[in-house]
Amino acid sequence: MILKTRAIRCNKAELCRIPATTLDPEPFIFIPLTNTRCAKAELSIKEGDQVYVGETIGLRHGAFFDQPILSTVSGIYQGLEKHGYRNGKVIDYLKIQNDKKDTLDPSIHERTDEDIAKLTKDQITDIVKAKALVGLGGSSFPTYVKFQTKNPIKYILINGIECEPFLTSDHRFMVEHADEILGGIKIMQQAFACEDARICFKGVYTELVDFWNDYLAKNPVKGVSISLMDNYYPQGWETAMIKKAVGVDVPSGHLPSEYGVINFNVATAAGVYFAVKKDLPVLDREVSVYGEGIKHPSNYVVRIGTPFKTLIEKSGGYVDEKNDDKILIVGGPMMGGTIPNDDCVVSPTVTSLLIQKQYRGAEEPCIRCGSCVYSCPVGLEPVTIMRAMRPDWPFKVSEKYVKSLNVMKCMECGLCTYSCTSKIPLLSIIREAKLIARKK
Amino acid sequence: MEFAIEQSPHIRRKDTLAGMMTDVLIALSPVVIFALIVYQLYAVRNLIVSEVVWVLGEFLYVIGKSLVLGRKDGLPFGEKLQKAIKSYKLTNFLVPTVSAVIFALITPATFWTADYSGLNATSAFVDGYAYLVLVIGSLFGLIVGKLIFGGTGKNPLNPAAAAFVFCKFVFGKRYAVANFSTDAFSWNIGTGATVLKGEYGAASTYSSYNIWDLIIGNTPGLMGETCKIAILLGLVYLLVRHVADWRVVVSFFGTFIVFTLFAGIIIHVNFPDVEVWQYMVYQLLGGGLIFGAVYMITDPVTMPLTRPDRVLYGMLIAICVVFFRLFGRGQYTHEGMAFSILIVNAVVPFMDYIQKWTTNRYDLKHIIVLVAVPVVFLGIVLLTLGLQLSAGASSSSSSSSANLSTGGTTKGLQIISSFINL
Repeated sequence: MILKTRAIRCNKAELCRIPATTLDPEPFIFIPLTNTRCAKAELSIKEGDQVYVGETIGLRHGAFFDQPILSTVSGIYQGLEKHGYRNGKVIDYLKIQNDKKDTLDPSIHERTDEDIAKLTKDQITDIVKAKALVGLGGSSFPTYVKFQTKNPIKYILINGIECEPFLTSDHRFMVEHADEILGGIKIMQQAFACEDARICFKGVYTELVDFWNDYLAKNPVKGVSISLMDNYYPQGWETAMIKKAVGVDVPSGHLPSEYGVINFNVATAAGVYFAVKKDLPVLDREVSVYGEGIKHPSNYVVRIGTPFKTLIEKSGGYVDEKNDDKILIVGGPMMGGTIPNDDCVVSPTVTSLLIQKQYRGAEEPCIRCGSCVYSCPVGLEPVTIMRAMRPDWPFKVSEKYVKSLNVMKCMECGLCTYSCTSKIPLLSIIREAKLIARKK
Repeated sequence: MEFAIEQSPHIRRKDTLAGMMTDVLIALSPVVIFALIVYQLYAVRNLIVSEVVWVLGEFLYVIGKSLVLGRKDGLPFGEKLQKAIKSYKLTNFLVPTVSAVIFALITPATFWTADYSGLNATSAFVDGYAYLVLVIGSLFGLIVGKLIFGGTGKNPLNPAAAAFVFCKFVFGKRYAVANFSTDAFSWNIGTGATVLKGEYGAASTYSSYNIWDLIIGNTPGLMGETCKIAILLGLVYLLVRHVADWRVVVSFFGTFIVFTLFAGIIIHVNFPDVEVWQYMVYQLLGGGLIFGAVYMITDPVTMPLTRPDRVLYGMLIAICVVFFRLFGRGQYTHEGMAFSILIVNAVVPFMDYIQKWTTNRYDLKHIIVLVAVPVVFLGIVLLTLGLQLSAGASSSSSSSSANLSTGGTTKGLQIISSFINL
């Protein structure tokens, strides 16, 4: 078919209505020692020490920034244990035995509204940094770096679009944590000295639209409004969202803040509220577990550090466990990565687990239908890149030509592979092309 | 539990290449049915011979390619052969079938006899010359049009158009464009008169065909191209299923209609009894224009990749056809459509390769080109046509006016026919 892909069909409307079940914290909670952005870490506690909720128990060192390690439960630290991480590697985890008392660290004090009103932008930035808040939409980019911007901000955009098919955790979060989101927005308005804050989500979810209209009518905050988005993929991509919400075009390679726009995920907005108002890190996370490989797809609210296996048990376990052609995706089916086994732990950026069959379709020759070119949101021509990377017999890959194709603009939304009539894994080929383009 | 590893994305759109090719075959079916009804065994022969050659050629190519690529594997020949046969897929059957059906439909049902005295009256399966044309044409289209470039999806030229033009050059003199006679087919009420007989400017065939005849296919012509209703049914199906890009089709017809309307105005000025709309409609319905526009220019393999380029592609083909139709002389104007497709196909790789030009957005440079190309070419066409008509009128007024007046009653249609090539 010669057709631009817009909305990806799925049964999201049904999944959105499943209320999230809050799970009690597990007897053992695991906290990653290192993560994708911070490769080294040092601990300030030793085995057998008592830890409290929100206590700073170590420091991760990254290439550009340090990040504190915070405990999400109270209990006894029992040493390091190896488990898989969401990028597929096996890393050290801090194992904490939960005493189920959720005792807060003595240094944690809830701030009153008057205290908050006195905070300056730098103080808010420091709080957010101390609570190790990262972008919870999946980027895990440190939030305090966004707060440090020197550019004047005209619009604050709160991203609740969740354009990936099947994902519902942000949707549930917006229904169940409206107070926290609004609280976070108020703090952001204060920090950036900017009144115009817009909560962006898809207009097709009429129940959510009605809910937020009612909610904002009951709790009016000056400058906060709703901005309804179109129903297509990737509307949740920040450039597409900014374009739709405020009409500003952010070119690739530039930060939105250079154009007076700053954007946060809905869960990050609530995280700001937790950090500033309650002086706590992100403790709980909405996680959806779904897919054809799971018995009862559901939404959960779980403590950070809960193993995946618990969630899968609560969902009734796997369908047809003996088949080994299944994949476990962390994130959405378009951009999420797979992990080699379910020995992994919920981190703040885990929003969903999807268990489904591996794609086994055969690759056909490209007939240049152009669906990938029509679908590409950044205006690349994936088929041209494919031809450059797989030249016909007498020719070899020309690095100069590959570099001239702007492959670094690709943000890996996956629409080219999804749309391909001939089922060619175009995105995998573009990733290879990126390796060539990165070479000096 | 252990899981497999897979790169994102993990879901795919439902459409497949085999489905797309099946859709093309479904879209071709009204034309095939029309050909089978009207030309009966001749159509059966054309379709079968063409299908066998294209599909068998592709099969041998796939097997041979697999054997050549696997020659260093060290496997016994039997296993190599099994592997080769496994590499033959459904699409290796469907893709050449589409080309085979299109080529069969644009090959004449009957041919001139060796002494050019008339059409070969022997029955369909005895005419050895037809087999020669079909086999040679199919082999040329398959090998030169497709396989030497690397098979499906890599051919810069439309294989069916290449095969047709090759046959037209090699077998041109016996290639009867209009080829059915009243005694053989009850459907046709037309005569055996052909455009090949009618010289440019002479009173010829169109006086006996009205627009309705052209629409339902009651005219001489190649098997596939006559029945416009069947072709347009196919077009609707192709567009509904998103198999054909509407941009190409719309820009092609739009450009062609605008050009012929303007040309019609100039002709109307010189020959007042030719109506402008009449000229346009006869040009549009005459010959293989609609068949080519529906089944041949919409072939995605030979199309450019981006939206502005596809609009430009349709425009360029339409402009080429207008040139062939208005200024072509002799018998080589009948396949103006196929020639135009091949000429513009040859330009497509440049559109795609130049990175400063190719983008999927309508940039300023694209808009300028998309406006400038038709305007400039329209100027050239109108200027040339005007000069030609005024020169022709002054120099050969005595002979041509005598020629035009012989028809008597339908002078206008005769003038139209002088500019139409089937």
